Amino acid sequence: MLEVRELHVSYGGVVRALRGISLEVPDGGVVAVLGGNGAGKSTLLRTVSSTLRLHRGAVVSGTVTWDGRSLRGLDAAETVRRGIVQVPEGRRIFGRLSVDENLKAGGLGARDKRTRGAARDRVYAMFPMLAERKGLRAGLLSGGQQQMLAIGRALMAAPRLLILDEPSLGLAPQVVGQVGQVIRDINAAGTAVLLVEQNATMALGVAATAYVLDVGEVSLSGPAAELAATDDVQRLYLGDGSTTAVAVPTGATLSRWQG
Amino acid sequence: MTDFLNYLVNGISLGGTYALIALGFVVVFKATEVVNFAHGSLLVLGGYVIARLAGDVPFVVAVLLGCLVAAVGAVLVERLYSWRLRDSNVNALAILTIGIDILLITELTRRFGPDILPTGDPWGNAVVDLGIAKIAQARLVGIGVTAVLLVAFFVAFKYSSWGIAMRAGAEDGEAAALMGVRRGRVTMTAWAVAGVLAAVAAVFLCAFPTPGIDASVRQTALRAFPAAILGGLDSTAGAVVGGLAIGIAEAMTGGYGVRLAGGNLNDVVPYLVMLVVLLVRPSGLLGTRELTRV
Ligand SMILES: Nc1ncnc2c1ncn2[C@@H]1O[C@H](COP(=O)(O)OP(=O)(O)O)[C@@H](O)[C@H]1O
Ligand SMILES: [Mg+2]
Repeated sequence: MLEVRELHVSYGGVVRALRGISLEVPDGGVVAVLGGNGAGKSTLLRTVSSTLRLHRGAVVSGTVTWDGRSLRGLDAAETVRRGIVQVPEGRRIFGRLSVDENLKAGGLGARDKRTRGAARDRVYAMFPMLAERKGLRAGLLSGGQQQMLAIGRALMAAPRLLILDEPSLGLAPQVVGQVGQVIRDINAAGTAVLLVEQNATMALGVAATAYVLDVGEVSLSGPAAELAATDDVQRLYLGDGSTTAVAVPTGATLSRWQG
Repeated sequence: MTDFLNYLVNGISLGGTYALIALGFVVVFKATEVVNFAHGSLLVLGGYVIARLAGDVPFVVAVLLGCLVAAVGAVLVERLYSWRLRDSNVNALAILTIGIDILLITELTRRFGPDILPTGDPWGNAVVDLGIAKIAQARLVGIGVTAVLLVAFFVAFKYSSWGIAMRAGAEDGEAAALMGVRRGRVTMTAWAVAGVLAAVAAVFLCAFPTPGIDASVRQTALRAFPAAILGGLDSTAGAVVGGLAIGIAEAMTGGYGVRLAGGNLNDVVPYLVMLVVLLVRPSGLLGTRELTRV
């Protein structure tokens, strides 16, 4: 289980991006974190994956534990070896490497060769489209295909917790639906998922629990179905019951949920 | 025509050696984003160890130990900077390597004294007649060894975990870290590889007809720097193309005794070729990044 308690994070000692966040991702569960641009979603994920330092950010106070052990002070590679793998915002596939090489790169964090081989078979079975394009330069894939590759690459290290930062960003609604289905399948195979989204329709459809993040604080949390029924989430994130993705207002609009 | 072929074969041999050195620049640049100006001194360090051991141990053992020392030296430079300076500006790092270069070459110059040491290679001054051209045996062996090393390098770069990690990290360091790539190990390996290639290059740079090695070989080695730039500082294939281009250009202008402004053109030809290429292609022949700001 991933447990975040009273987490405060700042960048360069000045910008306070997170102000006392607490959340949990139970083993085998799917948790969604919603919030507008700048709410602190990526910062939360960077803290868990230990890449904050690359952005000149640092934990001010609070704890992040995984199975009861602190994740603070680890480097990113070590976090991967403990079973937490993140698909970063904007996919960040290695465009000059082939599809297969991208998966091999994902396998570098696997514990051993056997895990890696099994994961590769599993990924190609899950995404036949990638198997057909093994030798292709990954940069030539479409946006949706790149997202699938980014997810497949992350699965290569056989994570117990898969973290996704806005996987639906920039994708056509139909492809967003496919991403949602892929996340369900991955979770059905036993992997816990922490899903960060602005697209609440997909996220609330997949997650059991959800948190709404607003300028560095949790403004709402609870079972995803209950949250989806809330007037404010309806209006701000779901566009009055419409099933398509909607543009999300900035975090500031949500501040009245505070307190 | 015979002259031409002679110069060509010798140019290929020299170019191959430059390619090994240039590859060291490129591998380090890809791993660390820093131009390692200490590379020439590290080459002299490897060559010095080989020459000092000559006669006491078999030549092959001397070369292996020279490679080891150059590799360790390179890794120490890398550790020194990543220990404290990892987050500093790339220019600061490049200046750090200049500082190390000066320290190292000063000490090596002191150790060489006025001597030019033979590397103890077994080929001596034998010359092989290929029919179409004559070439020193050492240079012929140099071409063979270079070819084997380059192939081995490119196979490792393409297929090994280290190669994949290198290429992934060079493209997107953060994404590679998120995939569990251990940056430190990958980088240290890259510097070590550069050190090994430099030590091997030292042997062939100082073989017949060169009388042996002294600290001035550093200047010769640094002629591979324009080779790396003109190939594209972030392109491994570019290092080979650039090395060969400069080696051949140098052998031709030297062979035909082309003179420019009262000096021998072959002394400046690496830089001339580099300038011409960069004017046409600012990122180098095969590079992807504009290097005007490096
Ligand atoms: N590298 C950084 N340096 C300084 N401030 C940053 C950095 N990254 C993010 N921030 C700031 O931290 C806050 C949260 O950003 P982020 O976590 O990226 O939000 P989200 O992912 O929800 O859009 C924003 O105010 C943003 O400007
Ligand atoms: Mg973000």
